[in-house]
Amino acid sequence: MKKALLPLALAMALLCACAQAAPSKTAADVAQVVALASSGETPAEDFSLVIVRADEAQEKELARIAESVLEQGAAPVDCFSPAVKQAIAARLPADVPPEALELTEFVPLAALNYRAEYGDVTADLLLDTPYAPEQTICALIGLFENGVVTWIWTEAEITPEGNVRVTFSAAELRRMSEAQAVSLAILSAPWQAESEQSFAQSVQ
Amino acid sequence: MLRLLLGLLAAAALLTALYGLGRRLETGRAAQARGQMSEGFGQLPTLTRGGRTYVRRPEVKTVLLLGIDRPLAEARRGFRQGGQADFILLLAIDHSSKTMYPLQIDRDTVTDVRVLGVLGNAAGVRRMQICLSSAYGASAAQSCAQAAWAVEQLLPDLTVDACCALDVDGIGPLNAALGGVTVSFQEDASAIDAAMTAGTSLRLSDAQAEALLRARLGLADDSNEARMCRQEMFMQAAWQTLRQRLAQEPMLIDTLLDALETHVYTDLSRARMIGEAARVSGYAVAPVSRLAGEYALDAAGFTAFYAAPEAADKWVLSTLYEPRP
Repeated sequence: MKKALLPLALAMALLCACAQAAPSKTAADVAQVVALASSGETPAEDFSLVIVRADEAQEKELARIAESVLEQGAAPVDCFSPAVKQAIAARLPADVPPEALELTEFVPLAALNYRAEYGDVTADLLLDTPYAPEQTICALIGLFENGVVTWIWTEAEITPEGNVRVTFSAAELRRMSEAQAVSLAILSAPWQAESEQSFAQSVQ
Repeated sequence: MLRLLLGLLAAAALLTALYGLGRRLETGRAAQARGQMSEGFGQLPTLTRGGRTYVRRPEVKTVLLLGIDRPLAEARRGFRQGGQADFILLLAIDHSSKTMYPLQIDRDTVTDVRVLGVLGNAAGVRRMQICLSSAYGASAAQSCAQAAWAVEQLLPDLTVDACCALDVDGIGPLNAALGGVTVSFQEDASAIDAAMTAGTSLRLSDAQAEALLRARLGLADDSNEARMCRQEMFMQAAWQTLRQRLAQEPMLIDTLLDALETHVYTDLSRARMIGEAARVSGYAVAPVSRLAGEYALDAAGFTAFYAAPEAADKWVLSTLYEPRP
């Protein structure tokens, strides 16, 4: 009797599982890492680069930047060290002054189980901000250690889909793995309303 | 006598000269360009459909009602913590026919949403679930404005006139302030609460009201569509209670707003809320409408509802516009 009931119970369980609706999206679900590629060995399944919740130190750092920009009128780029500002300025198009850049994203990241054999890792991140493919952006990695944050410039571009493609070097990934917390800050040229509207329609 | 005659002639000559000068100025080169009345202010918006022109009915006002899944009074640390709008209802109030037309919008409806950067700057427009629009904003007012903008993208040719948001912790106090909303269950909802069986008429406790409006996980049908039906059921029962009590207590809205003070945000003044509630309490309520469309999964595997563009247009046209005579 029990044996006869088992397939029935399994079928019922399967039916219930199928009846479950797909989950509804929340604000925390918008940003995600959508693709990873490595220059070296194919990463093992336990390797991942994920977006995590901000810890206290990261929230404090964002609050510091917000206060400088929103209350003291500083340019976002001036919230970082002169060396970082110089690195950004060196890579900007001539018509985009560093002071014009806006801080659009501040993403807490975690690099889990990275090994040197993987080499550089390129990650495509779908973030809240719908970047236009031609939009100027700069990416900074924030390494948090014992209450001190070190910001370093890193290579980034916008994909045709509007995602942010960041190439993390092996050295950066090693430092990210060792840090207590990691944030990715994206500075970008201001949004151009008209092109963005058409962009929203094009990716529909 | 002669002096009087000469005086009259001089006055007549002066008047004639002044009239002539006036006419010359009026018809001369110095004539100022005048605009067309049709280009002036105060013109009602028009739409053309199938060769016919429709004009906006100014006597129909729209109010956006939102149910936000986080406390409105809670301090926000940034510009992306406004919470999701799990309940979205656009109420078109027709003051000429004295009828209210509710349009319930699925939280998973995909439309253009204005995205704010982490420091509050306008960062772009992304097509996503409309419930996420209220997440962007540093205050309840900003979240409501974001949601209203998204609704206006979903329903083109419509302007949201006012917005009112109730947070998740306000459901209980709202139910309590109404003396407990009585709901009749046509279908079994005992998975939410053992007392909610088919055929039962139940005066909800505050906890039951919150469970009825919010529960999804663990139910046989855990879709938002099914939850919208329960929200509609509560809303209709709450409106009946409110209407009956308003007839006896014209200042009930004042009492309600006191009870919900930290849980509600509206861009209407308290006096206007009281006045509007008294005005519409006798109005008929049309059946709740929903936009036709299709459910699918978005690229990340989340539920997405794609409203048929013609459905949005049809609702706006039939509710807010009339054919130009």
